[in-house]
Amino acid sequence: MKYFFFLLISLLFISCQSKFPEKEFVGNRSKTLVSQDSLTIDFPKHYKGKILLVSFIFTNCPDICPLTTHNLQLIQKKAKEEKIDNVSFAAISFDPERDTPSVMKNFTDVRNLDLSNYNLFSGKRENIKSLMETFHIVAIANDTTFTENMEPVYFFMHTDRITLVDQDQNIRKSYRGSEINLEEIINDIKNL
Amino acid sequence: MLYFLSILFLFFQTNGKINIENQWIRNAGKGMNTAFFADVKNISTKTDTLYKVASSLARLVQVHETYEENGMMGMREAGNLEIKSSETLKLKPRSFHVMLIGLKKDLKEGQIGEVTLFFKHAGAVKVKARVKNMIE
Repeated sequence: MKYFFFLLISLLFISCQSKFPEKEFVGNRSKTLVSQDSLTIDFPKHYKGKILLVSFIFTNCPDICPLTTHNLQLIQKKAKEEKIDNVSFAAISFDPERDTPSVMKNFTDVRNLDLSNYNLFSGKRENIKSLMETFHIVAIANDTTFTENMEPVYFFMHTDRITLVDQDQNIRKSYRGSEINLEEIINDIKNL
Repeated sequence: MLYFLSILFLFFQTNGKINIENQWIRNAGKGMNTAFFADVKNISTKTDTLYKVASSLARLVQVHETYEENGMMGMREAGNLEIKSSETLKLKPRSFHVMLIGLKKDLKEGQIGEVTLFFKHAGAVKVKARVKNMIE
């Protein structure tokens, strides 16, 4: 009987771990960021007590990042339908020199983002770099091309990821950003 | 009738050698980059090649390819794209697409934009496409 309970508890433990393979505390690595509305926050500390889905993007990205920001919109919509209200969404730019608050604001306006619990952030280069390390994100500028006026145009090769952070500021799971399983993410949010 | 024809034009365009279907442009703001997507079907009896793209919507227009390498996503300019007879080149998210670099104005949902695709045999095909947020 003793062994049966031990086995049961072990199985429950393994089952919980497989749902959330990661547990890395990031609450003590906050950095100052600025939103599309020019509001300054400490990230991720600002979201303590909330479940957070975070992605790193650049607004000049023509393909992968719009898919990721759109996928965050889909999760946001589904969460509202399911009456989940303790979740927030953040997309942080790794191109802060170009992604000023006004540029990010135009990005949210053109895409009709619901900003009630979804924000874009930019900030000082050193803060962005530190947060990218915290969230294990890599972005390398590449494929520079030139316009007729010889103005350089550059893109990034980058990690394609949405990261789930729990209410206690632990990274719990990572998903591909540009292609998602909506049900999986909603179930994971419900299980936190 | 005119309304019906203009609606039809947004879903299907042809010059008798190349059919363009399911075309759309992703919404984006002025100065930003975005992409044009479509199914490009070669209905002629010869292999054809997409070798150039143009549009007055942006400062620079190129065919690009999204690719994955070492778990990271990148993008590069694609060379000429060959389409065999009766085959379809899919310009789609996470794959080949027409890059509109440096938009001259906001492209918002519901607006119409024009892109021209140049083929070695079929010549220039002008395509009108609706601006969308994403494929529904």
